[in-house]
Formats: sequence, C-alpha cells, structure tokens
Amino acid sequence: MPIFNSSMWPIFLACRQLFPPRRFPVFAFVSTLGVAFGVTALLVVQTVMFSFGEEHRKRIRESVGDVEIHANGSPMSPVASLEKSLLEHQEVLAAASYIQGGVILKSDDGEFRLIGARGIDVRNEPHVTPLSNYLQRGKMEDMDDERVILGSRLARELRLGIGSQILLVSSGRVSKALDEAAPFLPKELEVCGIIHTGFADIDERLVLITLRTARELFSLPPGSATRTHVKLKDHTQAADFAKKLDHHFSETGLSLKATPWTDNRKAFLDAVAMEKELLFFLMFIIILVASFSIGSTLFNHVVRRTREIGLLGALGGRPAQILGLFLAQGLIIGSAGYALGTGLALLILHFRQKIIALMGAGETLLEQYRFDSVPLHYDFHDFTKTAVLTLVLMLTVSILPALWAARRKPSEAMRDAG
Amino acid sequence: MPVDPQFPRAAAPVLQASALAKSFKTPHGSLPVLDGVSLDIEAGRFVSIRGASGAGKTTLLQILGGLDRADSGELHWNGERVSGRGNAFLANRRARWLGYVFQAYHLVPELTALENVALAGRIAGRPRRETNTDASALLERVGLSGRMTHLPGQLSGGECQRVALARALVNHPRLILADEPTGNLDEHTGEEIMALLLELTKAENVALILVTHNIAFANLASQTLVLRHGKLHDETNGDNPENRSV
Repeated sequence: MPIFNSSMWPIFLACRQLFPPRRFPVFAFVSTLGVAFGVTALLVVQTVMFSFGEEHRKRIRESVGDVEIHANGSPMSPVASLEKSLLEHQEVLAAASYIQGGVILKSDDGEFRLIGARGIDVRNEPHVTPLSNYLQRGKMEDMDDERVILGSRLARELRLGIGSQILLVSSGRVSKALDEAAPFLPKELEVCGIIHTGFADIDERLVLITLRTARELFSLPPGSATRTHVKLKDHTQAADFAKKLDHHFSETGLSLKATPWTDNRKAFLDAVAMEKELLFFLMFIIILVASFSIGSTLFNHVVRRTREIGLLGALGGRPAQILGLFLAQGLIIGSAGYALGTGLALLILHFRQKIIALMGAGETLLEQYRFDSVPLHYDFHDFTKTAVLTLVLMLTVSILPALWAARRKPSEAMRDAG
Repeated sequence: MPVDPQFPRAAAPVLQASALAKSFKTPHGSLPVLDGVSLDIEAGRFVSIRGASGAGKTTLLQILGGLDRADSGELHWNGERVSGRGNAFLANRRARWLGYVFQAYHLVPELTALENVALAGRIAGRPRRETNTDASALLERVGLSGRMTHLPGQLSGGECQRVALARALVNHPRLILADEPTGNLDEHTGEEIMALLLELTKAENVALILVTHNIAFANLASQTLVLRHGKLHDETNGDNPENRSV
C-alpha cells in the first residue's frame, strides 16, 4: 500500500477509485476537465482584465507621476520655487514641471495632425517619469529647443524619422490668428527621437518638446508651466499626499490643486474593474454549471458503489470515514481540475499574442484598450480566489452524495446492491 | 495476535443474542422476520444456519454482526452489550472483532488482492506495515502468494473468495460471519473454499456462523440451526426440528 497511514484510508481509497490501476479513469478525467476548463476561462479572463487595468495604471503613473499639481488650466509661475517647496516634503522623491497643450503638426509631406505637445524639463523629467525607457530611437539628451521626440505611431503615420523636419503651431495661436486676422509663424523643429510605449494614446499623439520651446509655442511667460508632477517614495501614498497638499494650498491661499494619479482616468479604470467583476460573475456561473454537472455524475458514481459502501461499513468503516471518502473524491477532482486549469490558463496567457493574431483581434484591442499587445500582470489574489471558489464549490456539490453514502446502513446498502 | 488489547477476552461467549425480533414494514402491514431468536456462540465453535429463501437468514446474520438493528432483544459481543449502541461504536467493534465472508465476495475492484485484505486492517486502525505483513501471510496461506498484485477482475471466483477469506481473518477476529460463501462457486471450488474456511477458523480458534443452503456443509457444524417462521430450530445430528426452537 502507498504512503497513507491508517486514518488516511478514505483518501487512499478515493484516489484509487478515481484513478484505478490499469484502466483509463473516465469519470475522473471528464470531471477534472470540466473543472479545468471553467478554471481556465475564469483565470484567463480575470488575468487579462487585471492586466489591462494594471497596465493603464502603470502608464498613467509613468506619464503624470504620482501626484500632479495644476492651476485649473492656468499657467503656474514660478514653477522652480514650487518644485523646490515640493522637494522639501519628505514623501517626495522628485518633481518636474511641464506644459501640456494642443498643437498642429505639419510634416514634410504637408500632412497635418492635431495632437498634444508636452514641453518637458529635460533635466528633471526623467526623475519623475520613465519616458526615456521607451525611446525606440535617439536619446533624451539629444533633445533641445530645436529638436523634438515623436510617438512611434504618429511618426509612422506621417512617415517621419530621425532628422525629419516638422512645423508646430499651437492651436490657440491659430484660433487667435483667425479671430484677429493676425499673422503667425510656426516653429520649425527636427525629429531627434522616436518613443514607443505600446499605449496608443501616447504613441499616436505625443510630441515631446523642451519647456522653453513650449513656452514660446504657447506664449507663456518665462519660469511658467501648466503642471508640476512629483514622484513619491511610496506611490500608494499618492491620495494622502495630494490631500495634504490641497490642505496646504488652501491654507496658504494658493489657487492650486493636487490630483493623485489614482484620479486620472478614474471612470475608465472603474469601468475596467467593474467589467472584471462582471466577467468573474459570468465565469463563476460556468464553473457552477460544471460543478453541478460533476455533482450529478458523482451522485451516480456513489450510487454505483452502493455495494462497496455496504462493504466498508461491514469492515468497520465509520459513517464519517465514508463521508470523507466521497468528499475527498470531490476535493481531488477540484484540486486536479484547478491545477490543470491553472496550467492551461498560464499556457494560453503565455501565447496570448499568437492567439490574438490568429483571432485577428489586434485592431479591436488597440481601439478598445489602446494597447498594441495584451499586457500581462498576474494577480495572486485572482488565483487564490479561484482556488478557494473551486474547492468550496466541489466540496458543496460532493456533500450531498457523500452524505447519502454515509447515511446508508451497511445492511441496506448490501441488500440494495444485490 | 489480538488487535485490541483493551477488548475483553474473557471466557464469555463470543456472541450472545437473546429474544431478537425484527419485522419489516410492507404495504400490506408488518412482516415479522425474526421472532424471539436467541443464540450463544462459544469461542472456536462452528454453527450453521439454514433456511428457505426469504426466511431471514441474512437479516439474522446482519443483526448478529451489527450491520442491522433488531426491533427488540439483546445482543452481546464477547460479554459486551452492543444492542442500543451508536454506529461508531458498532463500526469500531466490527472492525476489530468480526470477519465477514459474503456470497458475492465484495472485493473493491480498484484494489489488488493484497490491498483488499490490508484494507480491513487499515479500517481497523492498525499500522500499515503490520497489516501488510498479516495480509501477505494470509494470502500465502490461502494459496494466493503469486496473485497478490492482481486486481479482482483478474482473479477467478474461487480466488476472489480466498481473498475474501483472508480479509475476514486479517484482524484476528473472534467470530466470522459467512453468508453463503460458496453460493457463487462450482461444487469443487465450493468444497475447497469450505475446507479452507474451516481449516483457518479452527487454526485461529475463531467462531464461525455459516449461513448456507448446502446441507452437507451445514452438517459439518457442531451446531446446525434452521430458521423457520422467525424462530431458530436446532437440527444438530438430524433431530426433529419441530419442537426444538433454540
């Protein structure tokens, strides 16, 4: 006999009945597959939804920092002193100011695009956002008042590369020129870098320029910026720190507002989280259906073993042990199904890009979620929740047949079995 | 070697039944099956019970073995009162004290011969190594040393019943209850099994209650009882049964 001690005989027997020697374990195989497919569907959907949310959060933090300070659209000045005062807070790791505004871009080929330009402090910005990590071509240090960095999709659409010349003019200045019939001169710049983040909102619409160029484009005074963002030592403290800053601003009479990164695209992220929960519920129903189907099969399995139930009673098996025997079968199927389902889910997630390509769903992905590939972030909590859920469900559907078996009188069981 | 030292092994009869009664409810009313059955079995004794089909032999055997409960009457195993005790108590005592042999062998199809025999020891809570040693020795004694790793489906009917005999004896019981143990076997194999059963029970000084239709086997017993109209009649040595209810 294998490794089990005396009190473990129900588990030993449960294993043997599920996986009989020299015979294909049809019941165990089909039941395990039923659970496994449900678990796979649940884990894949949960992981993909979590990954989208997580990737969005990551990109938001990477583009706006942990906390952003602004003056409700008005320029702030002087931002150098604001940065200095922010750095005095012990929670703050780095601070940098930037100017964000709409511009019209004209390429060499005469194509126009209305996009967002961001004027950054080339020296401080890399301490707050890791934009330089996503540089596909060129270097951050190459950027100066005459050179720009473009998003990869924008560059591709406009057939621009390193060394290409572009013209930029702020949309506000164009509007003013139309109203007042005043002439304006666009700013001519050279492309010195291409950035690729994999996030369409950035790759399609981003033009990085220097802070000085931005001030010139948007006619802002020296030393000003539209926003200042900070990187915290602990990003989870962003909301508390923003609240603290807001309190400080109102006390000192500054008309500034601090916004934590968690408030950025909050509605969208809440929708993703809600979608994840709804999908969890739907997938849960799949597992529920599979479980009850297994419960019904288990009941048949138990009924077919009526004679053995009687025998075990005759040999001295206690009702609790017979209950344990059939509960163990449910748990073994649940555990094996969970393990197999998790393996399948990991495999599918690993080959997700190939599967998306086979399905031809790449464009939908880009349109709906703004990513050119499916991001992957594992949430341990999803795996634990699914494991607990699977085992509890399997235990629940096993209880009825197990109780039926445990409550059979050995004499009746043997008589009924013939 | 006895498996449960705390169990009384005094000179009390291994089984005492007094005034056992049992009836079944049917759509046409109550059907009495046992009507005041009393029986004492001493250690090492061999008692056979015969009776017509439906006379209640199996019901009596199940009540004597604690698998079913009598409506009234008293049952003692080895001097210990068991009637009215809980299922767990009965299961515990059955595991350590009684051995069963059934007509249809009742082997677990997924377990090998050795595992089937050892399972009884495991249910009785005995250590694995000790149970395996006893199971192997018993399978050797019943002539199945070369078939220990075979599944029941790979054994003949006679071999399956040998495995069942070994299983009944593996916990060194004081009483074996055998319900038509040769009923599914051909005459020759049945005789072999019967001889083996008697040899083993005699060697181990185990009492045996044999329910059988086979008069020849029944007459081998030191006491031959017949169940008729819910009562046991002693027909030992061919005595007239009519006036000798036990």
